[in-house]
This record gives sequence, C-alpha cells and structure tokens, in this order.
Amino acid sequence: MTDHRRYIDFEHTVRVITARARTEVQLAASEATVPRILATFTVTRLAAATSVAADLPVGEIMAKGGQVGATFMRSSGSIEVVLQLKGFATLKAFARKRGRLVAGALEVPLAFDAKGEARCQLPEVPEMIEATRDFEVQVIED
Amino acid sequence: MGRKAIVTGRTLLDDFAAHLTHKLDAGTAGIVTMEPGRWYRELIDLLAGQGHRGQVYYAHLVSGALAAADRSPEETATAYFTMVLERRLLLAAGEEMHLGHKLLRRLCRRGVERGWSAAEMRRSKGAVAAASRFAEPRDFPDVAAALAAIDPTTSKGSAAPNTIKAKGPLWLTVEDEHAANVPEEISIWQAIVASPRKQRASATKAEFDEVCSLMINALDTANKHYGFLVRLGLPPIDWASELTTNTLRQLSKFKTAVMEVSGGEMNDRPAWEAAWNRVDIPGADTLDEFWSSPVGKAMRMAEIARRTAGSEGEGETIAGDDVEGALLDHASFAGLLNEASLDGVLNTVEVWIMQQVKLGRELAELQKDLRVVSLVSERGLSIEEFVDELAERLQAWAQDHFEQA
Repeated sequence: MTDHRRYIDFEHTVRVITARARTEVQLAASEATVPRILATFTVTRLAAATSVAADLPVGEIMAKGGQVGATFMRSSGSIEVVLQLKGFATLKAFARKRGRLVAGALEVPLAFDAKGEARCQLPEVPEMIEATRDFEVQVIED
Repeated sequence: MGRKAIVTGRTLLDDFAAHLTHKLDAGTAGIVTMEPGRWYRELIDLLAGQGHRGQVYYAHLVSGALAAADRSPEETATAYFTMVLERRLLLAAGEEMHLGHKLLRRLCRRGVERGWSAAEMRRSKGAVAAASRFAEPRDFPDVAAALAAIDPTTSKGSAAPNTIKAKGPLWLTVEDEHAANVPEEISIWQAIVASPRKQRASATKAEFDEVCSLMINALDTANKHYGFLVRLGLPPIDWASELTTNTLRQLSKFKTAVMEVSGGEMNDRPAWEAAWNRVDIPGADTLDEFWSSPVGKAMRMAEIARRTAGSEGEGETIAGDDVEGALLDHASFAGLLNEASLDGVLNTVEVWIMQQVKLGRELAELQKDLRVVSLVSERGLSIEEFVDELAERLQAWAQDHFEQA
C-alpha cells in the first residue's frame, strides 16, 4: 500500500467508526425521547357511518380483535371516552401502562389502571366526533 | 488530489450514512425486513427537520435556508432525497462497477434465503447462467424483477457503453448459475429497494462498518453535485438541472479564488478578473460573458440566486477525481494512530479511545472509564463532541500527510 493510500484509508476509517459511534449515541437519545409503542388497537365506528353521521355511538364499541372496548359519554360540553382492556392476557400485559388515543392529528394521553380502564376527555365539537370515527389506542412503554 | 470537504457538514453526511446503515440493521432476532416505503417517509421527516436531530439535518445537510420561502421543508427534503439518494451513479472509465453496484452486492450477500451469501457481480459477454445444480434463492426472481424495472439507459459521459463493448454487461450471479442483468446506472436508493427483502443484520461492529463504509463512499459521490450547489449559494432545487458536477467543481474553485483575492466578498470585479486568470470555467468564453450570465449573477448576489437559473442544458459528466476510501484493519489503524500520537496529535488516552471505538465499543460504555471522564470534562464537551473533535484532528493530520505523500 502506498503512503498516499494509507492516509486516505486512515481518514476514511476514522470517518466510518466515529460516524457509527456518534449515531449510536444519537439513536439511544432518540429512543429515549420517543417511547416505544407496545401495542396498537384500531377502533372503527362503521355502524354510525351513514345514519348518525355526526353523533356518538351508543353502547360499547370494540377494537379490531376485541382486545379493547370504547364507550363514549357526553359530560358538560365534553366527550368522555372510557377505554377498557378485554381478556385476561390483554389485562395482564397492559394494565397500569400509559397510552394515548390517536385520532387524526389529535393525541390524548391516558393511563390504564389496575383494572384495565382508562378515561380521557375530548371537546364536544362536530370535528372531534368526526375525528373519532377511526382512531387508535396505543399502549406505550414507561 | 485533495480530499478536503466539499460539502458543508461532511460530518453530518457521515452521520446520515451511518443513520441509513442503522436502518438497514434494525430488525428482530438479527433479521431485517426491508421496508423502503416506511423508511422513505421516515427519512423525509428527518430531512425536513422532524425528530431527534432533524433540525440539524434540515439546516446543515439539506441547507433548507437556501430554498425559496414558498418551498416547504417537506418539498426541500424530498428534493434532497431525489437529488442525492436517488441520484443515478455513473460508471467511471476503467471501472467495472460503481458504488451503487457494490452496495447492492453487499446487501444481496446479507440475504437470508439460501445462496445469497455467494452473490457476485461480474461482466460477461456470453451466457452467464449455466445448467443449474443449485436452487436459486427463493427471492432471486424478485431481485431480478426489481433490477429489470430500473431504467437501463446510460447518461452522456458515462464510460458504460465502452465497458459493455469491451467486457459485456454487468450480472448479479449466485453460485455462477443464476444471473440477473444489473443496470449500469443505479442510485443508492435503487440498490436498497432492489436488494433481498429479508436480510441478516450486521452481526458485529466490523460488519456494520463494512456497509457503513460503502454508504459513506456512495453518499460522498451522490452528494457531490448537491454539495457544490450549496457551497456556491445556489438553491439546489432551482439549479440542479442547470449545471454539471464538473462545471460546479470549476465554479467552486473560482469562488475560492475570488474570496482569497477579495477577502471574502463575491461581488468584486477586480477579484473576478484575478480568478479568471487562474480557473477555467466551462462554457464561458469571456469574463464579461461569465460575469453577466445567470450563474455569474447568482454567485455574486445571493438574493437573486433563487429561481434565476438559466438554461445551459449541459449533460452530466463523470467526476474524475473521486477517491474511494477503504477500511483499515486493526493493526494498520493502530500503527497510524501511533504515528499521529508521535506527531503530538493525540495523547495516550485519546489513542486508546480511538482504538476502542475501532474495536466496536460504544461511547456510552467508554464514558464510564475514569480517564475518559476526566479528559472529556476537562474539555467541557460531551463524549460525542469529544470524539468528533478527535476525528477532526486525525483527519486534518491525515490530509496533511497524503498531500505531502
């Protein structure tokens, strides 16, 4: 190997190994700031799609797979959403975990208690009712 | 032949290459499922300024501030992606493959399906695939189909037509039996998209470094055109199709010459006259012509650089002075670290740190060493900044030496 080539390769090796080392730190920092999503449950309010376009469903509706139920209640100018984990395995895995309700651009934090229940409040406006037509319940790592 | 940084934030380009390599390694149980659709969205978000370090990438790699005010960060980030990651790499004279091909070959060798570890690339005028004794990797037809979907034409200035004439087209082969024709011009992104869907993640830091080394070399080449435009203060999104890399290289030299004479002022006619005698500008016969051309005006006055591109309409040509770096083994690397130490560039603890990084130890781990803690806190830097500073010192030292060699 010529002297010229040695220094070029040395410089290149320094670039590669320090880029690797720096990005390991950056990715660790990035993972620390973005909590890992443990599970995502999708709720689609198909039943209300045509007849009661801008209203809330009556009774409990289930996420795909049936692992989470959602109930909507009006409460002095807001909508209270009550989420309930269903089944022993789901309860065991996600009770006492943090989560969030994601509807369009809206993200509302929530927390499941020991019985697998979580509640959150949304403003009662038509846009919000529309936004909750399809939404996700995400369980995130503490 | 200089290798000094020609783009703003070469460190950031290296980080971006390492970031991409980490994406190619992110899987479970050592197996990665290639998800180019998801990665595309994530990379656009990152380049547009979102997420951890997104703003740094947007400001210093994409150089978003150069874009016209009505361009959104997403539009500018998408333009960067198209101009760099999707930039078709061209074959240079005397070469059988370029870095896009080498990256594709490396990724194919990571394929999980049986046979991929023996993937090769070679040129052949005759039939490549012989009677089959071995089964092809099950996803070989998918890779072949992805390669067949890439535009097979070659650009003006590419050495590919002569190479094909002399040595035949390029083939991706497995066990010398299964062959797929590889287009002459492929981009970094096309290499990623065409590679096998299931791959083995790097099992060691050395394997990571091999892929990252290729990615850094490939990005160096692919980013060159964009980097020159940024250096000249020309918004890439408006000027990319107007000027070739070779013209930009000359313009960059011209700018350096003007700045040296004028002391940093670009709109200085006497400095342009001095620079005109030192640097040839392709396509400009007289200084007056160059001074008043769209690119001349844009170089002199940043406020008119946006959207004033002319229509020089030159074809792309091959950059002739690319030097591909290769990874050194541990012994050679240690030998050069010791040379740097004898020259007073690094102290003994700093040599030890660089050796440990080469061996694959993570900075978070090194940070627990008391000698490192003491050295880093003495400088008032984070461990990341400290290693960055060590790298800068070593690179400057290496550049001095290879310019003398």
